[in-house]
Amino acid sequence: MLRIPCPYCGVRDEEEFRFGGESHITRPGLEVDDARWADYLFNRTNPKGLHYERWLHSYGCGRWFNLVRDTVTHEVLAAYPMGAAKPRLTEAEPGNDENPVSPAQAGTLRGGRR
Amino acid sequence: MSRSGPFRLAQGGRIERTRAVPFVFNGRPLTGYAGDTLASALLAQGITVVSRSFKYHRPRGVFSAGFEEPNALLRVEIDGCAVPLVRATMQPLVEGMVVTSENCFPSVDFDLGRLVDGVHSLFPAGFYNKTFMWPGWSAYEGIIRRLAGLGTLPSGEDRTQYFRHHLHCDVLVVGGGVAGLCAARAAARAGANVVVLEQDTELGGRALCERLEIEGQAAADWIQAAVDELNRSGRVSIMKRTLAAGYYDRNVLTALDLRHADRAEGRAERFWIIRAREVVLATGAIEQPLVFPRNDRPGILLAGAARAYLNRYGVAVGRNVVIATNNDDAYRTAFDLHDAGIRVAAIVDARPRAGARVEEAIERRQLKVHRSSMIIDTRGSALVSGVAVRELTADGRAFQKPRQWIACDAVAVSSGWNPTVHLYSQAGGKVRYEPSLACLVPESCRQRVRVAGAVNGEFALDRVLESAARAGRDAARDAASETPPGRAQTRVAPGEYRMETHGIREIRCAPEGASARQWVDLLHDVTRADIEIAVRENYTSVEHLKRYTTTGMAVDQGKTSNLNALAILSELTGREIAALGTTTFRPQFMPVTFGAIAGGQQGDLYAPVRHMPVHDWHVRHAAQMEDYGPWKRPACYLQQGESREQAIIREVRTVRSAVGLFEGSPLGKIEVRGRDAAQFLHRFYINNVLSLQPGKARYGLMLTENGIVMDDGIFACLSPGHFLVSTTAANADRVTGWLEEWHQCEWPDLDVVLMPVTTQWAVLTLAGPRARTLLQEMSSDIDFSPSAFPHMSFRSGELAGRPARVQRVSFTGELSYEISVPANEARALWEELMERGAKLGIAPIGVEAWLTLRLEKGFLHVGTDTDGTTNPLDLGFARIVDNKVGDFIGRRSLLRPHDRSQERRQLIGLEPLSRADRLVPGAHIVTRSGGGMRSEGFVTSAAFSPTLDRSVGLALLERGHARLDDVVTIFDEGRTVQARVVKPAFFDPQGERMNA
Amino acid sequence: MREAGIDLDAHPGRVKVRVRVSMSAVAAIPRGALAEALRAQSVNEATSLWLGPDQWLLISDRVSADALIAHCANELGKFLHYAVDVSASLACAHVSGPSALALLRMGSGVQWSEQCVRTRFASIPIIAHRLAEDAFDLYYDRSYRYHLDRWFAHAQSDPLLTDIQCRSSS
Repeated sequence: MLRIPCPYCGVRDEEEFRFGGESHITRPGLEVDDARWADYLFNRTNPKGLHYERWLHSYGCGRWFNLVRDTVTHEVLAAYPMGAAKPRLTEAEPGNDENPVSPAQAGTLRGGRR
Repeated sequence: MSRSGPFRLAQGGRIERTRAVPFVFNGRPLTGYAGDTLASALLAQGITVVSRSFKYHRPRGVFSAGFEEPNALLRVEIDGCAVPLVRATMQPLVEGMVVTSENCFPSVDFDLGRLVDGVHSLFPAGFYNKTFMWPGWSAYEGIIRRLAGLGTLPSGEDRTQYFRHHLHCDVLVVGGGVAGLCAARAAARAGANVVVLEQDTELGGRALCERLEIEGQAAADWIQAAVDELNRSGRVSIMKRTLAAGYYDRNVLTALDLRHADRAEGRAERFWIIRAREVVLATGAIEQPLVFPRNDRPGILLAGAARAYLNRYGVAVGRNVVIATNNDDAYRTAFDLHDAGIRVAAIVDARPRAGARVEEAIERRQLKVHRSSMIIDTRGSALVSGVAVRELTADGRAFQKPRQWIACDAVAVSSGWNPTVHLYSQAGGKVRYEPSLACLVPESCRQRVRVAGAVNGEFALDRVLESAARAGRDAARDAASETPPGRAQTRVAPGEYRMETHGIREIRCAPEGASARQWVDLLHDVTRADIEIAVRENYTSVEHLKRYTTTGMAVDQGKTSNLNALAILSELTGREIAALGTTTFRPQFMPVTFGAIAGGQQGDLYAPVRHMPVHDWHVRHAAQMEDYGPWKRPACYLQQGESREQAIIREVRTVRSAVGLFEGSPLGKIEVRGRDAAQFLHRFYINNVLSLQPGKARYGLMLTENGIVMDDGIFACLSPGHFLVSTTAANADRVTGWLEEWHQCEWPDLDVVLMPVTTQWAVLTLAGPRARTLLQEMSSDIDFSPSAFPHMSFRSGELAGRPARVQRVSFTGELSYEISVPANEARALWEELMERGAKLGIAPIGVEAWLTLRLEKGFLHVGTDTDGTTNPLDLGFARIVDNKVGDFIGRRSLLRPHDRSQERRQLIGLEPLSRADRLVPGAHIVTRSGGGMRSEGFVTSAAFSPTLDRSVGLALLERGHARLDDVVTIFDEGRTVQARVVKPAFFDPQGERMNA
Repeated sequence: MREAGIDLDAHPGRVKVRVRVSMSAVAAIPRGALAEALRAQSVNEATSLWLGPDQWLLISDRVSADALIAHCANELGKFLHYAVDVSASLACAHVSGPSALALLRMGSGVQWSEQCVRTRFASIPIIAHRLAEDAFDLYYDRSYRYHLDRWFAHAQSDPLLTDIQCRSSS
């Protein structure tokens, strides 16, 4: 079970949330070709490592937000509101613990809108 | 002789000798003491054979004194409530307990299954994979399944009650031994809230079983003092008989609480989900056995267990005991037995000599030691009666000199202690083999976990105290600091406290030359020969070895066999143990019942049931309540002597000829408010929302982004910038979430506020030609006349003195009003409508009649008439889609060639050619092709129409729209029906009735 | 009513109004207005419970729903908002007594230390209002009343709760 830090409610159990897949995906307009549209609909990065994803705190505040999660260790590296810019996080090598997101950095992400 | 058995010593142990506890074992009434485990009580009675082994049905005796037990897995029944495969070594003795051996027929002392043992050479590793190939596994499965498996399930209802609890704490200490208590004490002193989990009924761990002093006190006194301090602190919660079974991400642990599992007034098991800021694992270590020929005889057990039975329970495991070891620790057993007056026949040590202080103690007691020797055979009928000992060559790889037989009635074996790293490994911790300690030790973990005591390879008491105190103190400190999300630091297990103890020599298995079987995994009956076969066949990785031989895969998960299997693999392949790696430890650490994990979420509580506002009235009026999604709804209302079918037909006719009242409260209702409300909804529906005028309602379809129909419903404009969206009952939550998701994630710039109000408003729907007459008789400020309130419009006002929202929409094809009133007013309005409608012939209508009415009309039911491939073009909405200006969710997908193809399955109506024929939902429409049949689609809805007096159906059919009037063949379970393809509108196709 | 103090139909006359503000307005609402004042504080004979950054539940035993809605209009007039009477959809369960906390911990893994928390309890969504260390109001959708009743009946049969009761009374 994951424990997920909702940017509005704090850390809660995974069962209060709904997973919404990869985030920061731009919705194309009607004019794009079929291949581009199919890419938007179906193709996701599925990385081994840092994954930028959306979660909904469905049993809590009802807000969608973004999460950065390491798909190998399940660590949550950052949580930030919808519309905020993608935080720059470095992929850590196993055993390399440099560049964690500091609380100050995480704080500046809040309240930003696209 | 003591009443509690011939092997009970006159004194000693922590049992309460004044409290006798009667119990029954395999039909024999026996007595033990309070404080006994089932295993100690059986051993005290001299019962040596307690079970039969899994594969060969060999007699087996108690092997350990803890959770590692591979043999004494018994069926325990308390007050008629039976639990299979209970570890006798963990089960407190309970008055009136009825205990039965598993896996034996007709009895544990004479078992017919033993015949398998006589031909054991026919059952080597990989036996099943190689043997049952022809004509196929299924030919043998039945017989093998009957022979296979361990234990028998209790029959009848499980009367155990299961509960789930959640818990938060600063520091969780797993293990209430000396290390755990010491860590908990330090953490509590530092101000942390602490929880201690101990699977035993008593705190103290191994210290309960040893003669030792801790910090200058007798062990028992030290434990008592520590526990007293923890209890006084008010910050420590101690949970005994609670076993930590799983360690998951983010320091979430699960535990099985058996505190109330032994009550005669009803068993209860509890499942704890614990979230700890910091965890200290003080899970101790498990003693490992030696491997030698015929080492599975009853009477052979772990040396530490022999000590535990002696010191904790006052039970002698034998009267003439041989100790076999490769380390100093097992000498404690020899000394304790000797000092208690029990004869130590011999000590067989694989090493040339023991540690200096041990040698001194041997000298003092004049004990006989066979040095550089191992047991190479045992004998006895069931119980061991003697061992053969032979001397090893200097390198330990062969034997020299002839064998020598020693008589005995018990053998205590030890090949050292292996840390209980299971939870650490589950946490994601890395574990490695440490040759200097000859065991697996924790290395590092990214979770907020610490290890203290034997689990970390700390075997010296002073080191344990020091390390555990530090772990507790540091855990309390770290628990107090806030941690934002971020990459976790890798924590390295504190190696400085580890000490090479017991002077262990890495010889665990008798080398070469033995033809008799040497047991590695007692519970799964895996022998050294099985491992040899596996290696010969090149299954040389630990993962392959495990799966091929099934070693370590039994319900004990190899707690006393994995390390020996590794040692044998290492010997056979010539690779170092450290290089072999280990298999992964996974939850659960010990078997946990499914009931406990479900935590009572079964039966009625399996999924939350929802009741509608008028529920009680329905029940009182003979409604057949059934599950429609989470909702309990009336399927139909039975009148005197009616069958279900008759009731449905009567209800349909009532709506067609008079008026029916239907509760539609579960319909989803979402209000959308704001300057951009129309623009917002316009992006969801395939229909035009912008052109909708206040007071008007429109039917609409919503799609997924892939162009698939997701829901249909009505949207009404209440006033400019204020809309009410109605969804199907099944999709109420989904559509609410869908609108939220797109607003929050994609279009936050649109100025709207969403408000789900589904359960605030009850929906009472009147349908039938007399619906208007009834409403016009009620007091209301709403004008219900046809010109003032036409079909597809919305009014709000007062009805019978209650605030009401009324939509004139129709699901049945009749004149129909959906009346919404606040849920707490619904019952009163319902009764008033029934009362006033009586003279108009009103009747309550159930869901089944309601669905039949819509089918007669040919209206779509999303999810029934559509599936995960159906787009609006397939349903005949092409004109609406093409006329709509601008984008909407799913529009781009409808432009793909495949979505526009006329070859797709399209919704059509079906009428059987013969009036007598019935259509069945799910039946396929087939064509003959080649020698077989090909499906062109299937019936989605079908029912007998009381109005048309025939069966009608809807279907998804390839090229359906172009095939009107074709006759098709419908196949269902061997029968075929001829039906005509028609437009999906069987009744009143012009809609004159609902527009009336 | 059972001995641990569970009343699934507490405060039958209580008025509940749910108010939601456009997210774009949330940042703009001055402190001291609803956004802060509504965080589980009593204002004008009504209590407001924080449901999320853009929404609150106003409850009152003295003021009508219309008055609460008017209060919102006063406070939030210039921002897009919507206040709706949800009194008929939300019921209130009052849980109190020495075993209250242990009982609630059987339903949800939240800490129960906050004054107001929205969570999943007994598999359903609830809004919990902590009145004291051992007294809570749980607002739940009325359609789940039967489920909650069954759930509490089961949970209360746990002998552990009896132990807690006994300990507190001794």
